[in-house]
Amino acid sequence: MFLTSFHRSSLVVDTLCDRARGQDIAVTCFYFDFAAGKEQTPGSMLGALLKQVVGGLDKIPEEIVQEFVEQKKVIGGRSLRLDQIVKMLVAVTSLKPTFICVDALDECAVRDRGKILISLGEIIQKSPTTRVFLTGRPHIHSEVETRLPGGIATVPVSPWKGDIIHYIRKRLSEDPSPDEMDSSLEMEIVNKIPETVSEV
Amino acid sequence: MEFLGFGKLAPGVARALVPISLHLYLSFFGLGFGLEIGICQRCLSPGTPPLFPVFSKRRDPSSIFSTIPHPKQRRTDMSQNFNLFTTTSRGSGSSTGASSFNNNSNSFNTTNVSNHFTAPEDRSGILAWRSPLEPRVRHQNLEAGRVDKVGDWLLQTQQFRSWWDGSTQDESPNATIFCYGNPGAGKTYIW
Repeated sequence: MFLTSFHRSSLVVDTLCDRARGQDIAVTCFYFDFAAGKEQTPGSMLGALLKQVVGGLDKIPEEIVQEFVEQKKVIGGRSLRLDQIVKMLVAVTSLKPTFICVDALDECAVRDRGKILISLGEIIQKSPTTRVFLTGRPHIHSEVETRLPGGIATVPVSPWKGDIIHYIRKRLSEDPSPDEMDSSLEMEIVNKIPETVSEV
Repeated sequence: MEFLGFGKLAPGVARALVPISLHLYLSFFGLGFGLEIGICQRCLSPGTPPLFPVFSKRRDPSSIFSTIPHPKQRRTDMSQNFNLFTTTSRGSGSSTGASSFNNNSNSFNTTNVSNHFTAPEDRSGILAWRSPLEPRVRHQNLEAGRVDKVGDWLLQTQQFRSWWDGSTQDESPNATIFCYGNPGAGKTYIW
């Protein structure tokens, strides 16, 4: 279970990582979850992105080290302000093309979402080779469009019958009791399940 | 008496199994925690080859469609995904990145960032300070992983290709791509 984070689990992040291999490109990601709302603050979210970009550098930039040393002197180690994190993110994302992938932005608290989008907007604006991939429910569409500069492409996502059939066939091929399966039952499963999948 | 899904057991047998199973659980937890720390440390070290062994753990579901957890059930702190760092030696993209960095007058101390570095042993403390979010044990299910080729349609869309191609140029039509859909539409799997 501790290796699961390295299991292929999301299409775009995996694809970006595959394509970035051998190139000097950074891929970072974060997902929001209602259940983790309190700990997923703008500072911790953008700090996690910064951690990923910095972790991919050969060495940590001196400015970050200096800030770390300075902040440690205060109240036993103070965390950075949001604007300081954004400033550092702008600096490190300017070093190389960087992809920032954020899942379920709609699950971020409304007040935090504004701050996060403004921060991402600043990074995009000041670091022209940064690309952002977002997913979320339709109701945040206009907010995303308003807050982020640099143009936005939108793609609606809905269950695709071909994907469902492909998934069913894959699961059937892994059936632990293949003896109990015959071609007619398999055909019935493949035909009926996609039909019963409701529009979501 | 039902005992951990193994069917009916005599009460005496079940009572005897409880301390044994507790001991096994604690042993696995301790080993796993150590492994996780080791993996994270390894991933944080620059130049370390990726350590992503194929970890195939067969489950024995009563039905092949029995439980298909939502990907959110495999909640994994983003800071765990250090395989995403894709750290490499300076390649073709570095010149682009460096020039845009130097042109950015608003960046902090733009001239020296890439020249001053710290020792590797300081990395973990500094990285941890970046964000309080740390790797943790979560409920995960290997079998619920994405099936290859499902969702590939997205990669073929003009919007995605244009967004990706633009990443190597300073001027791209769109800096952001937003995939939207209702709950259960599959957004997290394509993410």
